[in-house]
Amino acid sequence: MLWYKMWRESGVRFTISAAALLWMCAMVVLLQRRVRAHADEPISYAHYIWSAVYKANVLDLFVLLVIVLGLGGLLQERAQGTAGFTLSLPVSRWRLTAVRAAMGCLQVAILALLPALLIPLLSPVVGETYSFAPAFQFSVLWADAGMVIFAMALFFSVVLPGAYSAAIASVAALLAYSILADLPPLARYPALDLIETMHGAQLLASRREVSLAALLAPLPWLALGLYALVALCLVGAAGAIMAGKDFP
Amino acid sequence: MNTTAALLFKAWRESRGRFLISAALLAAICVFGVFCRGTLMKVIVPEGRFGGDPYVGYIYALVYAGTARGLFTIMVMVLALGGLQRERLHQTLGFTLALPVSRTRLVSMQALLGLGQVAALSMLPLVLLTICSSLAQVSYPLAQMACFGLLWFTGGAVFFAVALLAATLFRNEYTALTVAFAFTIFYPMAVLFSPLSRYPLNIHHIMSGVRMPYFNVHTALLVGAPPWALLACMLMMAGVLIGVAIQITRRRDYA
Repeated sequence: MLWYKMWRESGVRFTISAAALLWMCAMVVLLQRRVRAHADEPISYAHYIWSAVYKANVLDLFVLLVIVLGLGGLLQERAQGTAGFTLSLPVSRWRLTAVRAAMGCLQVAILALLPALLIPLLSPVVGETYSFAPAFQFSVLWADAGMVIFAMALFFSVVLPGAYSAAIASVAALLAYSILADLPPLARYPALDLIETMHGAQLLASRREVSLAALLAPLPWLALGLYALVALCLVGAAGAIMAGKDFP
Repeated sequence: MNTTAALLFKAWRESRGRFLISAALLAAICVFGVFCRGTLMKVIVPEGRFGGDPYVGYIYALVYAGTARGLFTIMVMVLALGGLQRERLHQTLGFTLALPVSRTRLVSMQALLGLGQVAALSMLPLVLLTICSSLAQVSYPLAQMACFGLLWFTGGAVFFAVALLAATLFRNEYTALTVAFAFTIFYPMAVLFSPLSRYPLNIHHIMSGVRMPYFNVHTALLVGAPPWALLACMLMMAGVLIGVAIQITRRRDYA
């Protein structure tokens, strides 16, 4: 029942997000000839997909959509006058937060998987090939890093009462983090750079020529484990705050 | 207090938190950008990216084409959210609709205040960069900042209008936010399709000058007169979208 509740609350957002991501990936593939023809220097199809999907436009969209998926929760329900119904359910607040987080993480993982399913399937339509293996590697990176972003938005939605405050705080925190991660003290630890990890920076030795072979490097498991831990801590902190909150 | 002032005050009370946070974030980027330039310049504008004055290239890459512009785009859309659909969700709609003013005026005032806030955010870098640059004994041309401010305002007005329309169409506030976010990324791709690809329709590029005839990529400076016709078209588009939002609000049954 709780799962169904969480799905009903985020289902429309998730469906629109999935449709937007699929549409964007489809456009990237279908427009490849035109865009590559206007590139400053010739680039391979793999490089084009990396720069359009995994490094720029589609990644930006994914990050923003994941933030929106993390919004909502009991504080918003209180503003709408429905928190009382949720709190009267025979489940603990910890469980409410945990199920909401689990549903969100599942949705993030599915969103991360969509480009990996669509791009290899659609590439033959434009006379190109893109294998599933590198696409799934990026999906793992996106899903794992996406969970941190989702957990951050969820945490802010538990702490900040305004409907849009959590979204603004999440965007601001990500921007600040991406700038900080580029500065010399942190730049020495590439595993700490969330966005660069999503770009696949640790998979690519050289970004000047991205080939499918170059994308088949081992995944940065240490960084992925760290992100999973951070996401878990953020969800735990959100659960603890929610459990101790007074809803008069 | 007359009706217009009262409605503007209502709209201000509803959006001031978002506006002030947006202004604070933009201000933080500009201020830290200037005072921490020694460290940030090496990261943001590696040697050889732009010819000419390195500080000019750096401010362009950080503010007018980089982090600050991305933040500005997101914030103007968040500013447009809310309105009657959200009030329905919060069960305060009855009070607003009981006010002795038409729905057209309600939405118009919300849009007017929002556009004022977009204008203020557009001009914020001009004010802060002027002050901070003089304090840090560096300089960025005032005319460039004014021109970029104009480009930001017109681009921001379109994004604001799109989000306002989304907030009018969708009952759930997060759905409107999702649609607005999707639009910012989806739209630049859509204009690559023929016959749209023949025209300079990418608002992100118009705002930052990228691939535009009025921008010199080597010096990171705007050249010549602002693209008045293009800006007028964008403002007209924003006006049409706001008009559609007003019409939808007028006809909607909020029972």
